[in-house]
Amino acid sequence: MQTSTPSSTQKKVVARSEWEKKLSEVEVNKRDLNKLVMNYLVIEGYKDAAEKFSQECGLQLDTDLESIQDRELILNAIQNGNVEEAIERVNDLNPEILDTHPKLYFHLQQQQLIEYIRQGKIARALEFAQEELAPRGEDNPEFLEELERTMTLLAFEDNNQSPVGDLLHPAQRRRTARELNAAILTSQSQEKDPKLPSLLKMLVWAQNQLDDKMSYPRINNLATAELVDNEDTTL
Amino acid sequence: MNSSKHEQAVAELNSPDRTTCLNALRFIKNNVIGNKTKKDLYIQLNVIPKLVKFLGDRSEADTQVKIQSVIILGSFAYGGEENVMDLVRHNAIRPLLDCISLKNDPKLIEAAARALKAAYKSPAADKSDVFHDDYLRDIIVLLNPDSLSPKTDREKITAIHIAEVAATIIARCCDTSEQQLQIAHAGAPTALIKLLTCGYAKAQEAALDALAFLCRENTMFGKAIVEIKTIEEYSDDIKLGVLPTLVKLLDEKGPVQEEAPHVLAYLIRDNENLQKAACEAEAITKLAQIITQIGNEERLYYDSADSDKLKENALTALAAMSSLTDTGRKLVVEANIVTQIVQAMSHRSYGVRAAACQCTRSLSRSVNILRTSLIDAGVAGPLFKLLSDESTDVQTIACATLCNMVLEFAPMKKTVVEMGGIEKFVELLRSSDNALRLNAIWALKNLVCSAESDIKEAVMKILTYPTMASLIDDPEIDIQEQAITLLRNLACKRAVDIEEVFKGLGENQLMDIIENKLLRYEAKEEIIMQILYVITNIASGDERHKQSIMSRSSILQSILKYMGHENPEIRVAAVWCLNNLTHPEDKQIIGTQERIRRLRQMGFEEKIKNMAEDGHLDVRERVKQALSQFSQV
Repeated sequence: MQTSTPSSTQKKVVARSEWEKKLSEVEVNKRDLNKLVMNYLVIEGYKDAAEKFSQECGLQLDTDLESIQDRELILNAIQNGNVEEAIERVNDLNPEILDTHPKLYFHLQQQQLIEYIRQGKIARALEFAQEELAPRGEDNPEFLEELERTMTLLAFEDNNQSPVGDLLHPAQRRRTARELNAAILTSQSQEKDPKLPSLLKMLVWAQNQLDDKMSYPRINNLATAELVDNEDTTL
Repeated sequence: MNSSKHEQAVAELNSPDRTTCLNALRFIKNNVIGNKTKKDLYIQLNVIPKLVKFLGDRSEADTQVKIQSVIILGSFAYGGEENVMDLVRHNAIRPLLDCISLKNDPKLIEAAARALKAAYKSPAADKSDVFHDDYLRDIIVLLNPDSLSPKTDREKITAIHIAEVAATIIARCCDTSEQQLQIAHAGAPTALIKLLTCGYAKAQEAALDALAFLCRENTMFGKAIVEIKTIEEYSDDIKLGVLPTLVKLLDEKGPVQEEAPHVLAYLIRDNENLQKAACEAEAITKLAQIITQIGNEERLYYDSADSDKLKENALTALAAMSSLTDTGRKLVVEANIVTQIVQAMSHRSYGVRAAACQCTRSLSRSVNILRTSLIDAGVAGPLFKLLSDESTDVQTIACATLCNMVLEFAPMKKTVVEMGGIEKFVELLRSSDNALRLNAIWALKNLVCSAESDIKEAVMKILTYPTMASLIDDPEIDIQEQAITLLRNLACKRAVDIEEVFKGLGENQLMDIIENKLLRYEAKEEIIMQILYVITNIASGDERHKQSIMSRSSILQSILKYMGHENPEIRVAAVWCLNNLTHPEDKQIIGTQERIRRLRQMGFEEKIKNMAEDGHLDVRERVKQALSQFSQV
């Protein structure tokens, strides 16, 4: 005899074939897709890719290529650990940005400190922390905690052992770059977030909502978008 | 703090070497931006006077040095009240104002405007400088991004950013009502309102902010700003933006649905683009659904007066949408709604009748639709009944609708005559309402236009020539014009028709009318033109008709005079008179030769020769014909 918990008896089960049929009925406009891709390339600062893509799919760029390139150069500088260059470029582009975004400026300096530590320039790092970052912490106590976390990097020989080792990950540079990118875009009256990630977030949220109500082939890996059968749906 | 490298940078500002100096400036700039400690440090190192000196140095043509200096000064201003006070103490504000003049490099203007914006955020900065010399004018000029004549995308973005900063400066200089007054008088409100339409959120925000500060505690300015019309040239774009939403509201229920078609009709009237846009948004389908649904309800419940207003508004919107374009008219026909529109002309509510009639009027502008859909739906009967409606508005619209219908479509002329239309129009001519009288004479005029002789005869039998003569002298100038055009249409094409007019009015009275109008009504060009075409038509008749015109030398003098009129259409009409008087025909060969000699004597030929180079093609074409006719004799 088959037994089942009350909750699973209430769940509706949708078989893979039916699910796929329903999905195939949804029409997505090619042009909309292209626009989404273009929006991602422009906002993330991929100048060459945006230019090529616009030529290939015949979409007009609603922003000038030069300004994408400005951001690309600035963001690359951060990704390569060259914070000083990034700061100089931002100041050339718009000297107001760092004067009006103290938190962003702090994060750039924090990133600079991390880069010194990564390069093993311990004396320079200490001097920099004292001269540049400590005064920021005095002005804004909320920065102090982050500063202390960053300084903890100096306490561990092996960064893999360090509780704050994540600061040395590429993701940290990306975080800083993204914050800077958003500030520049806002200063130019442009959107600061690409649409594609929001759509994917929406997909994940929708699936989570749906999970309570039914069993269906789910997308677990956003990069492959593969439909994964639930035990119930393989029937 | 280890300040030796900063001291060195300040020292290097004195270097005679440009590169050293510029590098020092860039170094200082990248240190102070975002960094309060460094700002204070450099101010202590007394860098401000050196920077100010770079700006004031007129011989120093190095824009880069100035730009970098201004950026540093601007960054100081972001350091707060004390730093701004330092700038004021070192007289940095005026030199910054000098930099915003249009003659400077846009990058320098941009940097200086930013610095001023930051400085004026602080109450420590004295804003009175702005109101000296031409500074205020300079700032207002910057509100218009085009004044920098940007060419590349990048230059455009800079220009718009400068406009944004200029707007913020203005917002920060509105502390007193005296300042508000000066700024408003210098033309800021118009420029700010224009900036609202630039499409860049930051600049729009700044413009709104400035407008808000300009009318803070100042209702007079508030009112004045609301009345500025600059925004009107963009109103089409705004309306195009609103349209889709408005069309969606047609799906609502209750008061919103009732009001939406009314607003829609108001929005798109007299504007072809907007009417097309409304069609594309499928407004017609929705309106047709509304009308059909109400029609069904009316059949079920006789007393559903609640929906009368909705029906009226929906019909009004349909009338507006099909008023100017054939696309709109076709869509109405395709929505299978024509029968219901015709039926609605007999509705109990006079608003619905008027709106339905207006719809019919719009549709009848397409002869094709009139010939098919409207006739098939039996439009003539219900429409004709509306000529006797209890509401003058409805009568007027019905009359105007019939005007359209009887103009070009011969079977409709016959139908209207058979239904007693002539009697009805003549009766309406006695109304006390001038709009209705105008439409009635208009309808009669259209009825006889290109009509057979029997219809002309039938009209004049009931209207009578004496009545027409008195309408030609009506106190209402528009009615005069229509009555003269009626005379023109009566005397058109066939000699027998002209003869009828001669008999009806009598040759003398006819010539008196022409003579008097030509002498008296120089102001109203339309009347002169119609009279000249009356002459043209008479001159196309037989020998007697031509001779009666030739017998009045004052008429001939007038024709000669109007050949030199500034309005080319009047010149064309005057030359037409001459061409018909001199047109060679076998039967009239002797008379024609005589007329040509006489007219030549009066100076017509000379006048015509002078007109050979007229600026208008139509005039030249007619003149060519006249010259060739004169050359025959």
